[in-house]
Amino acid sequence: MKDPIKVDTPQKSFDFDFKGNLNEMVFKTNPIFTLALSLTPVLIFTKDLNQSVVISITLLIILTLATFMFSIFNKFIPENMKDITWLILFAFLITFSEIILQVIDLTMYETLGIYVPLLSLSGLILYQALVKNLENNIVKDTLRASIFGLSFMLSMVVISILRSIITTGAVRLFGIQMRLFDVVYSFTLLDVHLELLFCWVYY
Amino acid sequence: MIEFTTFIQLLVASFFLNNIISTYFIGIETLSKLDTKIESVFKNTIALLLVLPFVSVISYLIYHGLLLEMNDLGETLKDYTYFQTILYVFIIIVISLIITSLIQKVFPKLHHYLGSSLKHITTNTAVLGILLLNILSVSSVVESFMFAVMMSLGYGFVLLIITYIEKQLEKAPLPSNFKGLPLQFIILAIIALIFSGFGN
Repeated sequence: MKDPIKVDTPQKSFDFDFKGNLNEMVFKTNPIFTLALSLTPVLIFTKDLNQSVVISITLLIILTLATFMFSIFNKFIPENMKDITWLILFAFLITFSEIILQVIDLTMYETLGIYVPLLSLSGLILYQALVKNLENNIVKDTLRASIFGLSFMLSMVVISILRSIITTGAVRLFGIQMRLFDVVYSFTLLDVHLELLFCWVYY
Repeated sequence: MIEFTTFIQLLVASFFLNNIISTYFIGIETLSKLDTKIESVFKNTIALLLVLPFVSVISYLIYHGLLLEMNDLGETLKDYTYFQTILYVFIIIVISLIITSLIQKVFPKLHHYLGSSLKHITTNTAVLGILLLNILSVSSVVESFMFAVMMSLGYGFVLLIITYIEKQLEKAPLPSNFKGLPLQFIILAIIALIFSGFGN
C-alpha cells in the first residue's frame, strides 16, 4: 500500500502569529540573554539610556529595511555570496544612518564614535541567527526581523535602566528624569552606619 | 582615538593601554566560539595577523589619497569621509578573499591548520574595530602597519589569558550554569580592571 500523496497547498490567508513570535523571540531566542550575540554595543551603550535607545532604534529600522531588501533578491543570490551581500547592504544602510544621526544630533553622534560603523558587523551576526527562521516570504521575513530587533531593543533598555539605577540612582531619558535615591548620600549614610557598627564591635 | 608621540609609545599604547578587548570591548564575540582551546586562540590571532596589516595599510592609503584631502594650512579641500564604512567593509572582504586564496595555493598546510578561522575573518568585529581606530590615530604607513600588528597581538594576548584561566578553573567546583560565557565575562572584567590601571 502506498501512502496517499501529500499536496502542499499554498496558503492563501496571511497568518502570522505576532504574539507567539514575540513571546518566542523575547524569552526563548533572545539575541542578548540566551544567544549572547553582538555584545560589544550592549556593553558600550548601556551606560546611558539615551544612547541605548538611539542605537537600538537605528538597529531595528536598519535590520527590518535590510531584511526587506534582501528577501526580494534572496532567490537570485548564490549561497556563498549571501553573507558578503548582506554585509555590503548593511554597511550601505549604516552609512545613511550615520548621515541622518549627524543631522539630527551631532553631539550624540560624536559620543557614539566608532561604534556606529561597527554595527554593520553585529548586524551580520544578528542576521546569521535570524536566517534559520526565515521562510522566503517577504512580509513574514520583515515582520520576523522587526520582532528580532524589538527584542534586542527591549533587552538593551532593561540592562541600561538597571545599570543607570545602580550607578547614578536615577533614570534619565531625553530630559525626563526619575530620581530613585541619591547615590552619594546613601553611600555616606552606609559608611557612617558601618563605622558606628565597627565602633560598637571594638569598644 | 589613541594618542602617542614616539614609536615605543605606539607599541605600548596599542598592546597594553588601549587593548582592543579589555578597553574597547571589541571582538568579544569570539569568546563564545573558543571552547576553552588555546589552539583556537592561536588560529584566530594568526588569521588576524595575516589579514589586518595589509587591510589597514591599503585603507590608510585610500583614506588619505581619495577620501580626505588637506591643505598645508590644515584646511580640508575635499571630504568624502562619510563613505568610509562601506569602503572599509569592501576592502576587508576583497583582501581577505585574496589572502585566503593565496594561502590555499602557496601554503596549503597553513590553510589546513587555520581551517574555518580564516574563512570567518570577515565576520570578526575586531578587524573593522582596529581599522577604524587605526585611521583615527595614525599618521604614516609604517605606523599604521605596526599599529595593526600590535593590536592583533594584544587581541591574542588577552584571549590567551582568558582561555588559560578558564582552563585552570575547569578543576574548580563551580556550578554548571556558571561555566562558559558568565565565567569568561567575569575573567574579562577582572582583566579590564588590571589593564585600566596601566593607563594611570
